[in-house]
Amino acid sequence: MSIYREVNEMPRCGACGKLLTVGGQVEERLGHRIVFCSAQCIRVFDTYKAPKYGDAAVWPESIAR
Amino acid sequence: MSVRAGVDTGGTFTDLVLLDEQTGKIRMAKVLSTPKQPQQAVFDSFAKAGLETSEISAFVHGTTVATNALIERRGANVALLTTDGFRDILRIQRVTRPNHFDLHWVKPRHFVPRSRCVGIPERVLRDGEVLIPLDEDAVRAEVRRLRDSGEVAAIAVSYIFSFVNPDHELRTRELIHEEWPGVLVSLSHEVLPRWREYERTSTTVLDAYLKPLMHDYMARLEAQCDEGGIDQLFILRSNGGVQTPERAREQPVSLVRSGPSGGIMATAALGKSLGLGDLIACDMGGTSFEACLLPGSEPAFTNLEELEYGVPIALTMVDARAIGAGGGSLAWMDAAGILKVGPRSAGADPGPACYGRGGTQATTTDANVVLGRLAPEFLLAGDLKLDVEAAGRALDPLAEALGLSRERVAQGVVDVANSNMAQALRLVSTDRGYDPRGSTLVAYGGAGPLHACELARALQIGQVLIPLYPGAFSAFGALLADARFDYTRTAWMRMRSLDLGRINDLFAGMERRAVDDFAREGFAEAPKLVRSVEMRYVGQNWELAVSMPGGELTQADFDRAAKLFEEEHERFYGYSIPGEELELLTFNVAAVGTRQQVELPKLERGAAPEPVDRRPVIFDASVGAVETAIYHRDSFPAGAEIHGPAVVGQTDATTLIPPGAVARVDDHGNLLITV
Amino acid sequence: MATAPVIRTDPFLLEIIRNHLITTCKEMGIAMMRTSYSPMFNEALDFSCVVFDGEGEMVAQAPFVPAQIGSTVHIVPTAIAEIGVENLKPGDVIFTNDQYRSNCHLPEFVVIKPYFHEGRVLAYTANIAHMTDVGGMVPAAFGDHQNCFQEGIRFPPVKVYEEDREVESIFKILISNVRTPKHSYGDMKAMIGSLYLAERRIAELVERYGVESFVQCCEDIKDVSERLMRAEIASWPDGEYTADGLLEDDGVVADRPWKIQGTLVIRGDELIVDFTGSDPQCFGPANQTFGTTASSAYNAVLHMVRSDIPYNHGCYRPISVIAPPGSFMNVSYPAASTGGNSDTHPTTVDVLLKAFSQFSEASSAADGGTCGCIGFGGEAPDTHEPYAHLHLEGVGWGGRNDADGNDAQFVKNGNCANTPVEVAETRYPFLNMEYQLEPGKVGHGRHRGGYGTRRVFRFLADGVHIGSHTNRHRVKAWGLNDGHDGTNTVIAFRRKGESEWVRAREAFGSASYGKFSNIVMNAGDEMLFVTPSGGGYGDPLERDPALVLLDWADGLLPADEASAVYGVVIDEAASAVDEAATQARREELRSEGSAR
Repeated sequence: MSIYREVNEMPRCGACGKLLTVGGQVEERLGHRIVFCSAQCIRVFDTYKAPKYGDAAVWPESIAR
Repeated sequence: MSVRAGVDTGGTFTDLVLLDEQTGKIRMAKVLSTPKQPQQAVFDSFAKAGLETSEISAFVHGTTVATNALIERRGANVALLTTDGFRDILRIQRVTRPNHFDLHWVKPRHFVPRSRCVGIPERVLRDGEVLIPLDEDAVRAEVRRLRDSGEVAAIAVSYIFSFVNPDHELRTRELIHEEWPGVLVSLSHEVLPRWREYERTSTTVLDAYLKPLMHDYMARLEAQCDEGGIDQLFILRSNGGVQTPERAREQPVSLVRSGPSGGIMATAALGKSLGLGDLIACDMGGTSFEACLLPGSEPAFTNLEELEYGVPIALTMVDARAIGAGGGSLAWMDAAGILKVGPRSAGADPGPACYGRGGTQATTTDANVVLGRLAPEFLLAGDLKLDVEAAGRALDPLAEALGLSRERVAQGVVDVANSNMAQALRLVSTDRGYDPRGSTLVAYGGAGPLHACELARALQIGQVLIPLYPGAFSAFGALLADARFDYTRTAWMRMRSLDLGRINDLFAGMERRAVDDFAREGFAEAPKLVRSVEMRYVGQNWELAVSMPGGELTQADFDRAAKLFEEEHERFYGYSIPGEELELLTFNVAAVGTRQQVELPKLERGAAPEPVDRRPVIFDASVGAVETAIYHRDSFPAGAEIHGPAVVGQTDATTLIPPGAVARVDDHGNLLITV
Repeated sequence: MATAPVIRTDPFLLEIIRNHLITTCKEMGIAMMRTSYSPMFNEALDFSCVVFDGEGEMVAQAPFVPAQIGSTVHIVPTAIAEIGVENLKPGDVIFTNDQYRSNCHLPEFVVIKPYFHEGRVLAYTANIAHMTDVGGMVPAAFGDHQNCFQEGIRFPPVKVYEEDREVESIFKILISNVRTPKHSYGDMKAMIGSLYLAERRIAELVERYGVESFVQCCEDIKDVSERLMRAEIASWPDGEYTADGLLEDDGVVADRPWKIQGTLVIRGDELIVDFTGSDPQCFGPANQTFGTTASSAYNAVLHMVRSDIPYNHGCYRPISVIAPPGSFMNVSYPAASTGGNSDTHPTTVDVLLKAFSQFSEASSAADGGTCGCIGFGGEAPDTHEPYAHLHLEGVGWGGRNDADGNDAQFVKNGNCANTPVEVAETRYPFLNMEYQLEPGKVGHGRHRGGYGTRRVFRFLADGVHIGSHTNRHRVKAWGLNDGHDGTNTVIAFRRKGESEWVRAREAFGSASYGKFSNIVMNAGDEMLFVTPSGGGYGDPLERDPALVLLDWADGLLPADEASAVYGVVIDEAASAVDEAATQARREELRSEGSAR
């Protein structure tokens, strides 16, 4: 780790909301690049969250910077 | 003629072992227990052995009467007097639960309902100072009310910090007896003079609960012994020592592990006489399996025992771990398709399917029968006929569900039972930081010798000892047990500011009492005195006991004790904190009256006898049956060597010697097996 | 629906290795109890020991604290990933207490040790333990904090041991930032000691059965549990079930309750627990971290399934959680969250149990909903050493379809013990003048709630600083299926010589009755603490009269209340139920009820 980042600079998984200190998988959804923690979470987003909540399914904390 | 008798009363059988003090000859007898009048079976066993009671010089008794009364909740109605404000201590308990995700668990009710728990105005502080004096009128009024209710047979008294200052409890007993002469009373500071009010109160209540019953039992037993001309009667306690019947009825809760402690004391004696070092005792009967660690052939003790979850008996007792695994344990499958064995048991009725008494569910014994591992021709001198086909049929439903052969499933049942027992063995050994691998496994009880070698292999134990009469070993242990009284005093001190004068006074006082007690209880010789101090790092909450030398103690003795503590801490818990200050809490004296040593008769030496039979036995289902020699144990001379595979039968047990193991018969007929 | 996993290990070996690993967790617990310094560990047992496999997935736990165990599912792999497996060496120990990194709150200290075998990490042993004092604005960490800086010292994942040696700088920073440095040091050593003990046990397994067997078995252990969990979930009707409930306040804003909303989404053998719709994060420490929220979802679900499933990672696989960042259910930096783990978690579980009750009889009414966290700190009058003590308390549990709620039992998110009066009084300058049940106060029902307790502390020294994060002073445990609500928590104070009990809000101007910091008590002052009872299950008029009689005989239920609430008329002289009068009374009450 070269520069220490505080947790507010780290993304949250787009489905569960978990803080991702390292890693994560970026996926294009609903016009945003969203960070996910696992394949399971991507599936939950696609099959439950997005259909149910539409654009509100995208949390600002989950958008890749 | 003078004979020493050891009697072990179990749930099903009462075992007698007799030692002729002149000839050293040993006899045994087994009769059915008589739970309603337990002393009856004791005298039945004498009759069965063809013994006149007047021949008995000393009779030592191990009993499960107290244990069973607790398990079956057949004791007396008790009232609890406690410090005002703490009436619900038995209902509140320690507020934990056994499974962290069970919405349906029901917290066990303790042995006294709230309506018979009474708060008495009084309060003692941590240093013994009295904050609120005892309200004597309140005690009198409550005792009169309890007496007049006609619902109570014993009273437990447990006040906060009574172990520091017992005056209020002592005075309460006087007041109780003034108002109600003859009612039985248990005081918490006498039962368990240690901190943690719930554990102390729970133990005291259980003591009172057992008192009327054990009082009667002891009285009847004593009367019958007097009548029969038996000079001395001793009762085996949970800590493996013996005591007089008077002491036993004063503190009956000290008898809850009287039964298993006989076998453990016998294990200790045998291990010492053979110089075996570390031992693990395992007692496998019909329904349960008990394991106990004996480092250096000395039994391990615990004070964290619970009757059931949340109902502690916090007295020092042999640290035997009991699980529901015996010859009668039932095999079944859980919803995930995993094979389980126990804890439910077929009991004595109907018993295993192979007994042909109507049992249809497979048990561990049935699995052993299918594998050909028993020698039924010798069991109970041939009285017990085993139905091999019934055992096989009982295994069929499991075989079908698992898609395996009868034999493979039988092997699986034995393996799972062994795995459960191995876990119990692990808990008693590793809890205390000991690696079991250098130990000798001592196996007894009806089913112990059958599983011993495989258990030893599971724990990577290299040596197994099967005593001469494994089925009556606990009764034999009662015969060997020493008298043991424990004395405890609490006094807070830091290692850097020791009050040596006070410590020496404490020890001297306890030792004087021990010597007096021994004399008063009719022991001819003065006891051996063993000292220990319980200490911990300042700030810790649990102590380690460190042994101390006798005589006038000096600073140098405590410097050594501190070093010993560090070593023990490192060994038990994997680390120590050098330089950290120690505090001393509890000073203990164990007074042990060593009995006259039992010299077991020696066998003639000779070569291994010819087997009485050879037949196929399955040791590993994936390999199949192997031709196996069947021996009668009574035919073994000293020095004989038996190579596995072999099955050794005798009237009270069957010993299995798997391929690769070698058994040697020692001078006294014990089997030492190298696995 | 996922395909059924294939179990490769011999079922007998599987049972053996699984038992060994669970026993290992228990042994870690015994060592921790015997060697630690704080009563939080050696009496209250507020810690959890777990074993993870080389994949960073949990393979064994024992009956410790549900809240902690559930969060380890996330914090352990998170901490390992952040340090990097490639940077780990034998003898290293990772330490963190960062609540934002999926820990359940800042006082939980987590230590993790990789077990290496021939250069490969085969397992991790971990211990998560509630450290009594962590610095911050109030002794023992519970109060009305508004941000993480007030809560205490926070460590992101760091190495606290490197190749079996203490990393001195970490220990120095730690003990310089807490009120009880000696205790914190001793407790850390006890925690780490338990990891070493566990590692020895795992090494024995690997030695005996070989690496491949061990690794395969770890996979199978998880797969078996996953299969059992999926079967349970599949037995529930597909659909969405939503419930909500309130946490009464956050300690900062008076009279403002906070909503928890949970939706169970059951789809075949999978379950999504969606907390969308819950309030935004609050201003005080009642927020849940992600770790707490995941843990509370697991906790509710595991309470609803059969209780013989081996608990490990396999149980968690079929469950997905949705916790919106910045909400009451997923706190964002730098908001506070210490109390979310102690008091919001149980309410979240009860909200989900309420959702479960929409299709299942096996649910229960709400429980007392608080751990009763009250911290005491100051200077010991005799030794002048600083002390900090966290007091925990049992509550009444909710009535169930099959039984009354248990009395005085630790709330669902924990499984801690009370500290014996004789231990607490020996160590700290206060007395317990009372510790008993609180008669007459309970949530009535066919199966009533459990009773809470009543305790009175009397202080023996000046300057005892008290902080609290407790719940149910205003919002009661709810009843279920016509059961009545439970009763409230009470915390009140009485200065020496006074007779009236006064609550914190009136006496000290705090925003909340149950969440406050640094109230100062002096010698002779007293504090009252009554814990809440659980809600009732089912109509009280259907309660077995014999059980009503028993509560009356035990002095817990007055006869007039037995008649008014349960319609049971007790003949007090005969200590018996008057059957005829009871029948009449119940008919009367039923017709009154239907008239209303």
